[in-house]
Amino acid sequence: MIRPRRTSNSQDPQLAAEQLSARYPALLSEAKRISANVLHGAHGRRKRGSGETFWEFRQARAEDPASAIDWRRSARSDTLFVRETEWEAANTVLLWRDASAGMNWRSSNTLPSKQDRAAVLLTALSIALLKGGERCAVPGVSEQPGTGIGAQNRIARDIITGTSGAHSLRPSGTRQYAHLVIASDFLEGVDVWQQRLEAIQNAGISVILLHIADPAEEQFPYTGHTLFADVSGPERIDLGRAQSVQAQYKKRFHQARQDIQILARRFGWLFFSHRTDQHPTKVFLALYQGLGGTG
Amino acid sequence: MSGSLFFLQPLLLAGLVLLPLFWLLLSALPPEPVLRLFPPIRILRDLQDETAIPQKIPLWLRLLRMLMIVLVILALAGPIIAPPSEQETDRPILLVIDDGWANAANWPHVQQSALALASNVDLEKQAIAMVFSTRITREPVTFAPFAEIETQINNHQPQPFAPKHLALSQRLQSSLDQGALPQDLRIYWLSDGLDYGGASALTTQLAQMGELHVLTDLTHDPIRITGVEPSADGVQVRIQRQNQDGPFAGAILAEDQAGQVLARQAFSIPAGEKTSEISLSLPLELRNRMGAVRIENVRSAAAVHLLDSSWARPRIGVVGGRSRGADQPLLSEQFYLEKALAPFAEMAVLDLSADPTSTLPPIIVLLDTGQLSGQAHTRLSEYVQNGGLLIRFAGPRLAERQDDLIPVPLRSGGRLLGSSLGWDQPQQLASFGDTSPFFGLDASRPINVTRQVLADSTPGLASYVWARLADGTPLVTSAVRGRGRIVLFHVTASPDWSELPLSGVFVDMLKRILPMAVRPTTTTTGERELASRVDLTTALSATGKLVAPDGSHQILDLAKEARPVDSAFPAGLWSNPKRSISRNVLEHLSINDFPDVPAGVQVGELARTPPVRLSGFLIGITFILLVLDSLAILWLAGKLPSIHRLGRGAMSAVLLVFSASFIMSPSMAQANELAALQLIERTRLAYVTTENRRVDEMSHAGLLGLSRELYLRTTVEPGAPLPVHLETDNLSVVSFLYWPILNEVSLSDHVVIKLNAYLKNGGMLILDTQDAGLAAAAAAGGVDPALASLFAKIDIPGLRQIPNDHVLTRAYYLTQVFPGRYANAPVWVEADRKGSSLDGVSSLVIGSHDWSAAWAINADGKPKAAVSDEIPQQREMARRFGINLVMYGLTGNYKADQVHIPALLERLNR
Repeated sequence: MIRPRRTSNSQDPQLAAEQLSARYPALLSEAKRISANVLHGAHGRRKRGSGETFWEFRQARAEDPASAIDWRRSARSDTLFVRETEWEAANTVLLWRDASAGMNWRSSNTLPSKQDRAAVLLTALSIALLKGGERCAVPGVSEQPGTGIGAQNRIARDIITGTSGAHSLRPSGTRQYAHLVIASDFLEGVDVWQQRLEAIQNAGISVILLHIADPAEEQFPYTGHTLFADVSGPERIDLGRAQSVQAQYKKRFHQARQDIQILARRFGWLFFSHRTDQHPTKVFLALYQGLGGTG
Repeated sequence: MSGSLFFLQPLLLAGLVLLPLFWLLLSALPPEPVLRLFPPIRILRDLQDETAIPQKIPLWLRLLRMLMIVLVILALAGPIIAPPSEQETDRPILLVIDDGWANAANWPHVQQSALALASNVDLEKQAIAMVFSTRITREPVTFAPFAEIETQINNHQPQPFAPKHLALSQRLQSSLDQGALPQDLRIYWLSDGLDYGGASALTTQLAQMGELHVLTDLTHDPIRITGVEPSADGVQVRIQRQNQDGPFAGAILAEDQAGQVLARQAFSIPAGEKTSEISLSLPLELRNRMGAVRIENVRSAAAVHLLDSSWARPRIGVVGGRSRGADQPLLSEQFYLEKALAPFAEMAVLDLSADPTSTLPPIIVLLDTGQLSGQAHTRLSEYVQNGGLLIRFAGPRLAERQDDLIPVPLRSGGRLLGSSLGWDQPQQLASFGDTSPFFGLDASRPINVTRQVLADSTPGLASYVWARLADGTPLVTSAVRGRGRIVLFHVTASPDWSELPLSGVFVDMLKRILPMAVRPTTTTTGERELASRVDLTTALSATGKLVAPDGSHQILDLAKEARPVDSAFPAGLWSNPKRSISRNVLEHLSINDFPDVPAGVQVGELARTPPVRLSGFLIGITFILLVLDSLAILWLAGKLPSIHRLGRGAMSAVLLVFSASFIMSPSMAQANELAALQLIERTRLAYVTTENRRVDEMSHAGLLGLSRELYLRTTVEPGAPLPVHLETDNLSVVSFLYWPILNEVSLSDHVVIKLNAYLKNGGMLILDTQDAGLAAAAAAGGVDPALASLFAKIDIPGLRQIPNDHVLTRAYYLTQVFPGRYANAPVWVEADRKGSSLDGVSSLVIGSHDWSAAWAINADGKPKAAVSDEIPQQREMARRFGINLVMYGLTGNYKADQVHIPALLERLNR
């Protein structure tokens, strides 16, 4: 029997990390490009709140207490003004990318692997968030959150080259009141993921699930006598006419994704799905808005 | 039809024994699945596909493959179905095949008949031999296996000469004597139905050897050209045919040496007649170009008659007359001679003193040269004595000093008619006498003669005179000298002395003189020997095509006895550097009707059904089965989705094949469009590539430098310079085209059309001869030869030098100089400022300043070439002019409107 040719990624973590690092500059620049698109559109934290930096004067309304009125400014005109400061409460956002072997797979050379796409999206997110004044961390790689633009490169490198497994998603490794973004293909089955996520849910973290799929995984475009091999395991499935199971497969795949989505809804989390042949900007915007909305 | 089936290679049928082995091999090859890595394999885990995976080849596929193997083995064994034969016989067979020119047109038919006869042989009992009647060797005729006979028949081509029946009968007799052939044969003679002199001998010989069948093709008529003669207004072609039963209609073609048809003449031969004479009328110019006469649509070597150089244009050497021509070419004598003779003869200037050993042309024209050098004089005298034709024209020098190369003695000084001091009027040409070769030419239109040289009145003068003036004085005299002739025109060849060179009669007179030239014989015996040996340069194939010789011929010595046309000396054009002669198939050949055959000889017609070989048919079926097999494998592997989609796929496959060629061109057009879009993305200065790489490099560097200056100084930001190859590239994307034109150009028609369209649609063309006007100054008429060759083709309006108020002088910079590497040659633009559709914008700028060299920069941005420094700050000025050029090319006469600015300002102030 012919052994399937596999990518070395699933075999040797060291080599896998090196390969990821080799792609780091390209992925980082793509992430920067995507985040730059967004930064021009939405302005994140730039809104009034409790902080020290002056934000704006506005006319006083009836419900404003007298102590809030800025008398120096009001004395210069006929109406009363209230001095408002910028909202400066910083959040910690944890960004976790699934590093399982199945993520490093693509159905055609014209597409990015799921892993690359996840890294790009999370890195873009980290850049946008850091610019917005938030703190970011990568569970399992750099637990210490970074702030400001200075941390941008470190976080990006950790996201792109990190190879931490699912164990880093343990609740003790996450912080209370933090936001967590999980990018994965969720192919290990809803049972496995329910276990993992319940632990996090108990820790009281608000989570965004990003489901990443390859178009071939969704469409199952295979025909003829085909021997399907697992990416990491020894499992083989031999199908005489692959197209004959297409309808069944598609149904099951959608069901699996829906299960994850239902799980997210039950916990009150957000769920986004993304296919690697789609443009990343759209889902990135959704992610970013989702973080802004919950924060 | 009930034929017999037999195999060429029956031993190969033993391969069928191996079939059980193939059966076992075939059963051991299940198809291989495609392997794919697939992460969501968990989802697939317990899915059931309804189709079972094929582990073995199904029986029907195995049977299909066995059938293919059987078919291949059968095909290799070479099965043949032979047509039925009329008579069964056990005698050995001898085939005699006439493969001469007469059977060339119906050769496939002869081949088929021969194959039919050969395949009819019972191979186990009968032997078979074959002989072609053009190929005579010393070896005896022997029997051969059928496969060899078949290959020979299939591969043999007819020969462009006649069969040698006499020699063949001798060869057969000697074969008999040597015992190579037995006495009691059945003989088939596939005859062409003609007797070349040996037919009866061969018939007798063959009849002695056994039972003779003479088979001819009654439907085939070997029509042929037996002779071509020049006639008064063309050529006379004699045609002969063999079959006189019905009428024959066809056409005669006159072709030049390249095979182009010059004239066509239809003809018909009525029933009952065998020969016909067809006259083909041709103007002299066309007759001179004739290389062959051919019967249209007859594929036979005898339907072509080759003509050799005796039909071609005579060569004429012109001596003298050049000295005056350089400055006033239209007044030179040579000009008028060329105008008159160029259609009929090749003219070349001849320098008698140059190479005393060179061969002189058959005709020499001696203009008024004055005293000939001693050597030249001796040479000319010998030339005339040996048969040369010398045509002389009088002139002031001959009038002063005469030599002995004149037909009649002359009075010195000449005669001036109708001058201010003379009494007599200019004389006119008298009508030609009936002894004159000019008799019959129309001399009725008055031709004035104002000066002539006068012949001394000597007894018998009248017999030398070919043309006279109205007062009886000779105008053209001629005398025979040795084997040659001297003709003297008593006037000049230019219109100085008379109107004769301007008249049509002059041309007609010369035309009558030219045929009098005799080919001059060479002087030394060595040369004569050399000249008589000719080599075959163009051969004639049996089907009448002109082909390159295959090298099997020998050198032909014309001095020796005449050789018959055969494989050693085949028909075609034979030549050496001095002469060329043609050999035609029917030369030295007399053709008669086929003689009556002796009693006992059967005369029949060629059979028409050839044997059928089944190998190709079997292989074809195997291929179809192979396709079916491939489809079956695909189907078994589940790769054929459904019959419905299969049908659609097959349909699209067929469509794909049929439309492949059509699809090709649109996609290419699309690619071209894309390229064009890329080209017009930015303005790019373009240059025409030449064959000279250095010039192209300089053009590129020059336009690069100019582009940079434009970028730095103006809002024009050009892209990289664009090399343009005139033949292939699209000019419509170019607006500024720089053309270094150093040599004469020859443009193809579509390039001319492209260039004209480019100029007409507002493109700007900069022509630069890059020589500071040197070539123009050297050339006659002051026109650069390279430019002249271009202007002959493209539409050039009137030109003038750039005037002081031209837009080019202020399109960007104010400048009155237009320098490049050089600065002082004139620069020309279109003269017409109003009439053109381009609103007075000149699409041409023509100069010789080598602008590209002045603009050129190297990779560091430094100037690449030195400038001549004829004017101050020449390089800067060159750049400024370049910028003006581009501005002018891009904006046209925009700046010309500035002439109105003072008026406009004044109006505003008011």
